[in-house]
Formats: sequence, C-alpha cells, structure tokens
Amino acid sequence: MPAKRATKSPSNPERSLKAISGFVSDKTADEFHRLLNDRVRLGILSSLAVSPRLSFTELKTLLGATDGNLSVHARKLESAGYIGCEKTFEGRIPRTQFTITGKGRKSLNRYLKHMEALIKATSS
Amino acid sequence: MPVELQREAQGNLRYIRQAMERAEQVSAVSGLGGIGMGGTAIAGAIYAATLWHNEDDLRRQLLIWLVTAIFAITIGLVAAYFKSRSLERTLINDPARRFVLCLAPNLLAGALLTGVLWNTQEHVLIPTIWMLSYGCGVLSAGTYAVRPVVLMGGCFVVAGVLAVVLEPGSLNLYLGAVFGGLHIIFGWWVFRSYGG
Repeated sequence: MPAKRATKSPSNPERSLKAISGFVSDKTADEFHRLLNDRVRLGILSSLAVSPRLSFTELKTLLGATDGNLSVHARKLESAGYIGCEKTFEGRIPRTQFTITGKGRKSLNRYLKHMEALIKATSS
Repeated sequence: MPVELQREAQGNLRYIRQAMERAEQVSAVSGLGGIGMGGTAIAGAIYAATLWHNEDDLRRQLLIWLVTAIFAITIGLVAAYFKSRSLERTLINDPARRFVLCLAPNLLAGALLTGVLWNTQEHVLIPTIWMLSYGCGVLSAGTYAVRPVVLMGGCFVVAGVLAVVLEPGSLNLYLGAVFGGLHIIFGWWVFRSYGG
C-alpha cells in the first residue's frame, strides 16, 4: 500500500523540477535553454552582460576559444537575436564588436532565475 | 537525478560568475608597457647609484627617481592606450576607473610620506615607503585587473618590508632591481598570457 501511494504522489522530483524551471512548459524557454546550454555561448552572453561592448579578440581571450569556435557560437547567438555584431574596417583591418541585446539580457536573467529555482527545488 | 541537476545548475552559475568577473577585469594592462617601465626603473637606478658619494647627492637622486617614475607612468599609460586600441576598446571604462581609484590614493599617500620623511631627514625609509605604497596600490587595484597584477603588488609589499634591513648604500640598486625586475617579470607574464 505505501508503495502504491508513492507512485501516485504528484511530487515526482524530475517533473516538478522541469515545471519549476519552465524548460518544458514554455517553448521560448526551451529554445533559450538549448542555446545557453553550451559553455561558450553562455560565456559570450555573461561577458557581454557586464562589459556591454567586447571585441572578437577580447572575447576570444576571455573565453579561451578558437577563432572558428567563437565565430560559430557568436553567429548562433546573433541569429537568435541575443547579441548584436558590428563589423567595421580600420584601414584594411576588419574589426568585429559584439554587444548584448535587450532580448539577450532578458534571456540571461531568465536563465539565472531558472538555475536558482533548480537549486532551491533540489535542496529543499 | 535532483542531485545531478543541482550540481549542473551550480556549475553553470559558477561559470557565469567567473565569465562575468573575467570580463570585468582591466584587459588594457599592457605587458610590454610593464617591461618598458621595468627597463626605465633599472636605468634610473643605475644612474642614481652613481651619485651615491655624499649626502648632497640625495636631492639629485630623489629628482632622478621622480623623473624616472613620471617617465615610467607615461610608458605604462601609452602602452595601455595602444593595447586597448588593439582590443578595439576605449581606455576609460568602469574597471579601468576602479583600477585607478584603488591605485591613486596609495600613490598619493606614498608621495605625502616621502615629503614628511624628506623633511625629517629619514631618507633611508623612503624606498620602503615607495615599495609599500606602490605595492598596496597595485595589490588593491589588481582586483580589477588580470591575476599577475595582484601577485606583483604582493611582491612589492614583501620587497618593501625587506628594504628596512638593507644598507643605505645599496638601496638605489635594490629599488632598481625590485621596480625593474618585478615589472619586467610580470610584464612578460601579462604579455605572454593576455597579449599586448
């Protein structure tokens, strides 16, 4: 009997956690979670949150990423509308600057809240 | 499963915090500038040491060191400007402002104490005060800069304490070795690890 009660219990930890964090219920949240699930992309967004304008070289140094790796991840964030990219020329040298968009900042805040909610839910 | 999720969430939050801290640091601290500052200090020390013959030369020695300091600071600032330009950033930003705000009061205190010690004829303590005030300034300003800067500040503080037990005649060369050596060593480290 007690075993049966346990299976009927609504407090399935995994499901309740997902519900708390909103990863399953919300399609947008699911999208940004997928995007930010990568460390390089998460690093790009976190860095831009405190330093609103960073160059390609700076981001590469900060994250210890390669040119190709950073380009790919930055492009993904850019196409999702999380970051802005500005390309200029100084003489003949191309310069790339990244900025965080309102959507990107909002998403990062939401992601942080989700992480905090997860920790709270699992520790209680 | 909840433990795994919690660990992952904590790991992600830690990573975000570290990325933010790194991005806040002053990346304009120039390694080559540090090496240049060190070279200037060694040249200044050698020149000042040649004047160690009598007490009358003390004023000239102090002047040489002040000119050396101004020259070294200029080198550091120009190098920082070029490094920030190469990083496509402006030199004046929030971390840089905090860096200067931490460093400046210590340098000012050092300058004031130099004046006091000069008037009370306690010349032998001046190098100690310079190394301690510069070290404390760099140590606190290093919070907003890359890691080698903090360590360099700590080394200056230790060197300042050690200067108390040295013979007055060797202080010029000791100052040159400390200011020159530490700037060159840590400048090279910054250059190799953080560029510029």
